[in-house]
Amino acid sequence: MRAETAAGPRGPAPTPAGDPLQVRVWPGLSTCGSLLGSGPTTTAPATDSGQSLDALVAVAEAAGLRGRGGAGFPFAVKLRAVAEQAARTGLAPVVVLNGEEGEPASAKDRVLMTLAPEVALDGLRLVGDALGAHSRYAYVSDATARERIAAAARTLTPEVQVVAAPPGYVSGEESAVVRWLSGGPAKPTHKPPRPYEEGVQGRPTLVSNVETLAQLARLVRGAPEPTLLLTVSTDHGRHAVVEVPGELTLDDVLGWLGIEPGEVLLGGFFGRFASAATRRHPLRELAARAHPDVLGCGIVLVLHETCPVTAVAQVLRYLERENAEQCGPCFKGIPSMAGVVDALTAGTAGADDVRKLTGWATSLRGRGDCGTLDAACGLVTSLAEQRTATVTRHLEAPCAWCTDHPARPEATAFAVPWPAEIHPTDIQEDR
Amino acid sequence: MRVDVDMTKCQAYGLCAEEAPEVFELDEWGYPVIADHDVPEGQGPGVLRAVAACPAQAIKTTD
Ligand SMILES: Cc1cc2nc3c(=O)[nH]c(=O)nc-3n(C[C@H](O)[C@H](O)[C@H](O)COP(=O)(O)O)c2cc1C
Ligand code: SF4
Repeated sequence: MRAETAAGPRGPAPTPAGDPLQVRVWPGLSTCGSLLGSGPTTTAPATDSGQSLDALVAVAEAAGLRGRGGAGFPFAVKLRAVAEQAARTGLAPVVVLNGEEGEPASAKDRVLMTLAPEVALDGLRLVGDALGAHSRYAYVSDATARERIAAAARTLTPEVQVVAAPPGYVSGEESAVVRWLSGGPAKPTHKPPRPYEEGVQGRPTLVSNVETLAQLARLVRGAPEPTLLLTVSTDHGRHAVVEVPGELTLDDVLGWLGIEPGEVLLGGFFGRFASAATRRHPLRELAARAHPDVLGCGIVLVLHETCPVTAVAQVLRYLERENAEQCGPCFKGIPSMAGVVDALTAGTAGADDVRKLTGWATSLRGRGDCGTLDAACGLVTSLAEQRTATVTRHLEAPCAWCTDHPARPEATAFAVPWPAEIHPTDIQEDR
Repeated sequence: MRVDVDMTKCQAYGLCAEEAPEVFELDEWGYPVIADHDVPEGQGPGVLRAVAACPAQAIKTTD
């Protein structure tokens, strides 16, 4: 499929800051059914109960369904692991729809819950039934999305408990989800045990991203392969949640949206700067982690002007504020790395500082109990290794862009405007 | 025996590195780095002393 077939013009002019959030579905998806638009797999009545566990595993496996919450873990493997642990322990499992979406640059989960709460809940019902779940939760912090999920649950799946999650970057991490649902704070815990081994109230627990569950329901309704939901933002203030088929490349998507190619930070705060080769890679391979640059939870940040050094500084300051302040290497290490990147933006860092920075980005990896510290390390490494020349320039002289646009610690980096007024009739289903 | 530190509990007291310096090395902020989670031959007693000494009860061992 080529971008040229799309209707949208290749718009040259950057849109002014504060544009409303757009929702767009790739042309052609309506024939097999999209999650956000229309078509047979969206509007079909809920599937019959009684999909056996083996049948669900087979569907997920055949379609290569991966988790869409960021880690890209194969869904079939997770489902089996929970079932096996339940058999081993004799404890009926708990299933959780994770709709927390803590990352400010992502809006796809909230858009999905707003537009298609029934499909997401159908996914939760399928796994809950197949596993013989003890209890079922939808964990959502955004009030608008939670209201939509709750309203749909009342008629479709009254057995689902819709829970108000505390907003926060780490509160969507799976062990934080489990801890909150067990009566504790929404902060990550040490692993092992992972939720599938010992989750809510000690029961084997399946925590899945809301898009993952919706994709599962769509597959069971006959779709041939998962689509991908992306949140695309530019530093010119444009924001779009799009649904696209996996064979597209990032360049296809940006061309379709009329966004000039620029520096792309792919995967959001867990992400990396995308190379030109990555941008020409089918997105489904990036989602399957078959490539070093991964799609993560589908955040695409296009930086037309923003200096990558300031962008990283911005994100590190955000992670410094939002980490759970539990693990020393995280709450000591992130500010230390942020300090050096800040010095780079100010033109006051030296080569020794950068060596120290990259040393931390290596030695701190894996030393926190959730992925937050690894996200910070990954971004720093990406900056140092993939944008080496840019970093070197910042050692020689202060960067004009950085000087004019200091990273503001209070700013929520790259946040998508929300709540957004989205009505099904606003969706552009280009044909 | 395997050893692991729950970083959400560790408070950088550093007693582990006193009890079993070959197993626990402290980073520049005083938090332990474990080179080999499989406790090397002969280090078991030191690790068990560290488990008992840690005021935060952050050290876990498994067989
Ligand atoms: C710091 C941190 C924050 C996370 N936040 C979310 C989140 O808001 N929503 C989400 O679905 N997954 C989040 N995750 C990923 C979850 O831990 C978990 O992997 C995911 O919900 C599993 O679902 P999936 O396999 O369907 O992706 C986060 C992970 C980390 C390390
Ligand atoms: S790594 Fe950071 S955010 Fe994650 S549990 Fe530890 S302190 Fe909290």
